[in-house]
Amino acid sequence: MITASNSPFAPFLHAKESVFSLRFDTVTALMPLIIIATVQNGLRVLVLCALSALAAFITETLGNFAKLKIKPAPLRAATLGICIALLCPITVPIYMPAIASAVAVLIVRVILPKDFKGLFSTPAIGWLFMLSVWPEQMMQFPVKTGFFEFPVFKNITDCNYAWSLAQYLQFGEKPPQRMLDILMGQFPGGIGTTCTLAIIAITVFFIYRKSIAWQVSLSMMCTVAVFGFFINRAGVNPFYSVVYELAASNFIYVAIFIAGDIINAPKLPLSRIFYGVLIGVLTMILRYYGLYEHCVVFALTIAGLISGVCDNLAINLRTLIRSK
Amino acid sequence: MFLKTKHGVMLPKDYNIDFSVAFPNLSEKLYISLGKKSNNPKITVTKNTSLKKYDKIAELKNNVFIYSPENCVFEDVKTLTYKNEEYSFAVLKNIFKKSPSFSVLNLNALNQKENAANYGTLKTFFAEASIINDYSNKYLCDCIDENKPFKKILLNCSCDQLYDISAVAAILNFETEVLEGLDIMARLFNASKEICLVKNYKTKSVFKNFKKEHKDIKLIKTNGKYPVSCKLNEYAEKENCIILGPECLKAVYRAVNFGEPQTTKLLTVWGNAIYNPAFLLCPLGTPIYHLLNFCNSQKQFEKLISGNIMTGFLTEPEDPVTIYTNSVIALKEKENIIKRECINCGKCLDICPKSLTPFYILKLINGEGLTKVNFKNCINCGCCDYICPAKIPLRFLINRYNQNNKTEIKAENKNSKNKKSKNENAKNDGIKDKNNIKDKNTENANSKSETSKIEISKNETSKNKTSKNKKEANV
Repeated sequence: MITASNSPFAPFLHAKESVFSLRFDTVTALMPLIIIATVQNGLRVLVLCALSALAAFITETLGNFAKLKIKPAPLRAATLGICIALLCPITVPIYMPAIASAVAVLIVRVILPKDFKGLFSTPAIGWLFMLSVWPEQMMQFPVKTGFFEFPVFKNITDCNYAWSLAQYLQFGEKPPQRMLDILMGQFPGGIGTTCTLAIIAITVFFIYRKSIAWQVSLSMMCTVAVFGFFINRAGVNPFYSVVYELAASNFIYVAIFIAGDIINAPKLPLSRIFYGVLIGVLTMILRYYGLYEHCVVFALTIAGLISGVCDNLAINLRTLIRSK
Repeated sequence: MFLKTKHGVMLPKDYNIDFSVAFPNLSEKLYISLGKKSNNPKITVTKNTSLKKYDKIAELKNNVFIYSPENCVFEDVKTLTYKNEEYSFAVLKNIFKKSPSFSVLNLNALNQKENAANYGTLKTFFAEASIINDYSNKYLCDCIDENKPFKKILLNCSCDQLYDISAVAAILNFETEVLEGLDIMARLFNASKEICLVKNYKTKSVFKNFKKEHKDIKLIKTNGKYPVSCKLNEYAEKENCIILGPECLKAVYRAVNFGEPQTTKLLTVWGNAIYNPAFLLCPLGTPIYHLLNFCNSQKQFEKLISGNIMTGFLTEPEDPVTIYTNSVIALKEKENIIKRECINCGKCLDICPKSLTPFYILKLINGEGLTKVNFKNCINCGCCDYICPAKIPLRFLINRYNQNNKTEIKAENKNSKNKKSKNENAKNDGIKDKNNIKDKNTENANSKSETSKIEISKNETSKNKTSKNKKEANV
C-alpha cells in the first residue's frame, strides 16, 4: 500500500496539520471550560470528565480489538468523554456520563457499519441516551449562587434546584437572569455549557485553527436568533429574547462543539449553511410545539441523517451553475 | 490587476538562496534527451563524430531539432527509463574546445507586418531553435496553435512553491533579454504584453522598475497561494493569451538576434540537503550528480526530486537535466508522517482549486455507494494531498483512477469503434443486400411492367381486333 511517507509521487511536502493535531485542538479548547466549571463547582467536574473519557477509551479500544484493529485513539475518546460530561448537570451521579460515553462509542463506532457512521454524531447519541434513560436527573439544575463545592464522589440528593432558561421560555415567563449573568455563565445548565463568554473565545480559536465547520454553527445560531426575534416566547425585549433562545438548553455549546464538528458536518460550505439552518429551524419548531427541553439534540440527530444529501445537493447545484 | 486564488494552499517559504545566476563547470558527459524511444528520433550524426557547439544531433517527430550544447564527440545513443517510460538519450563526451562564432538560425527574412500572422513560419523557426516553454515544459512550437491565434502574451514570473525560484531569478538576472524576447514575441504575433508576478519582497524591486520603465506592459499581481497556475490558465483561456516562462523569452531573444538554438536550462538546486543552494544555468543533458556536487549537497539524502516539490517526481543522481527539470530538490530527512484512516473532515473539498471532490475517491475505491465521480478537470496540483490530515495520497489515487478511466474509455471507444465498423460493414452488407434486393425488385418490376406492357399490348391488339371486326361488320 502506498502511503504519503513512502510515496514516490508528488507532493513531497505535507501540511503540519494532522488528525492528532485536530483532536488536540478540540481537547485544548475544552480545557478552559473544564477549568471554569471546576472553579465554580469543585473537583466533581474533573471526576465526571475523567471517568467519561476513560469509559469511552476502554470501549473504543475493546471494540477495535474485537474488529481486529489495534489503533488506540486516546484523544478522540477523551474529546468525546469530556464533551458528554460537560453537557450534564453537576448533580448527576458520576457513573452517568461514563455509561453514556460507552454506549455512544459502542453504537456509533463499533456496531454501526461504515456507511452509517457519518450520519450520527457520537456525543449527540450519548446525550440522547442520557435524556431517555435518566430524564429527571438530566433536567434538574442546581441553583447557581457564586461558587459552590459539590461532593466529589457522593450522589447529590439535598440541593436547591432551579428552573432552566428553556423552562422559563416554555411557560412564557421572563427568566430572572440578566445579560451579564448569561455571559458569565451564572444560570442553570450543563456543567461546561453555560459560560458563554469562554465558548465565544474558543470559537475564535477554532476558526483561526480551522478546526470546526463554522458555517454550520453560525447559520444555526443566526436561524435561532431570527426566530427568537420574531417569536418572542417570553414576551420581553426582542433582543433579550434572542439571547435567551441562544443560551437555552446548551444551544451555543452544541452549535460549536457538536454540530460544528468537521467530521459529522457536511463538507461543502453551501451544504453546511443549509444544514445549520435546518437544525435551527427544527430546534425552534420543536421548542415551540414540543414539550421537551433539549430539542436541539433531536434536531441535530434528524438533520444528521440528511447531511450526505445536503452535500450531494450542493455538488449538483455547483456543477449546474458551472455548466451554465 | 490582481488575480486572487481563493482556493489553494499557502506553502511555507524559504528565501535563503542567492538569486544571482551561477554557471557550473561542464560535466564530462552529457545525456541529451531525444524523447520517447517509441517516437524513433532521426539521428543525423554517426558515432565518434566530433561536433561543434550548436551542431544538429537529431530531429524529433514534431520537427524540433536537437543541438549539441558544447563542442563534443557523439558517442552513442542510450535508452534509459525515465518517468517510468523508455527514453532515448544521445551520449556526448565533452572535448573542452573554445567554440567559434556561429549563426545557425536565420530569421532575418521576418518582415514583422507581413509575417505577423504567419504562424506556420514561426512555428518551424521555434522548432528549429528548439525553444522550450518553461511554463508548460513543452517545446514552444507545440504551444502555438495556428487555429487558435492569441491576442496577449503573458510572461509568468510567479514562483509559488517551496524550493523553486527559477522564474523570479530568471527575470532578476536576465531582465533585458527576457523583456526583449517579450517584445519580439509581441511584435511577431501582433499581441499585447502582460506580466504576472507573485507579490513578495524579492519581486518588489521588479514591480517598481516595471511600473517606471515599461509602461506598455500590463502587470498582474497574484496573492501567492499555490497553485497560481490554475488561476493563470483560467485567465489565459478567458483572455485568449499564451503563457510563457522567462527562460523561453530569453531563448527567443537569443534565437532571433544571434541565431542560437536553446541548449541550456535554468534551474534551482535546493532543498534541506544542499549546503549552497543556487540558481544555475547549465547545458541540457548535464547529469544531476554534477549539479549536486557543484552545490555541495550532503552525501546522504532521502529524496531527490526533479521538478517542483508539489508536482515533481523522484529521480536518480545519474539522470540528466531535461526540459522538465525546473528545479532539483534534495531532501535529507523523511517527513514524519503517520497515515490514518479518512476522518471525513472534508478539508480536501475546501482546498481544491478546481472545486472537485477528492474526498469521494476513497468512497469510490472502498465501494461505499459511489460508482463514478468526475475527476476530469483535476490539474494534479496536489493541494488535497498536501492538506489531508490523515495523509492519504489522494493525488496518486485520483491519477490512477483517471488513468484507469482513460484506458477504460479507450477500450470502450475501441469496442464501440469496432462495433461501429462492424455495424457499418453490416450496414454496407445490408445496403448491398438491399441494393441486390432492390435490383431484383426493379428487375421484377421491370419484368412485371414488361409483362403488363405485353398484356396491355395484347389487350390493345385484341381491342383493335374487335374494333376492326366491328368496323368490318358495320361495312
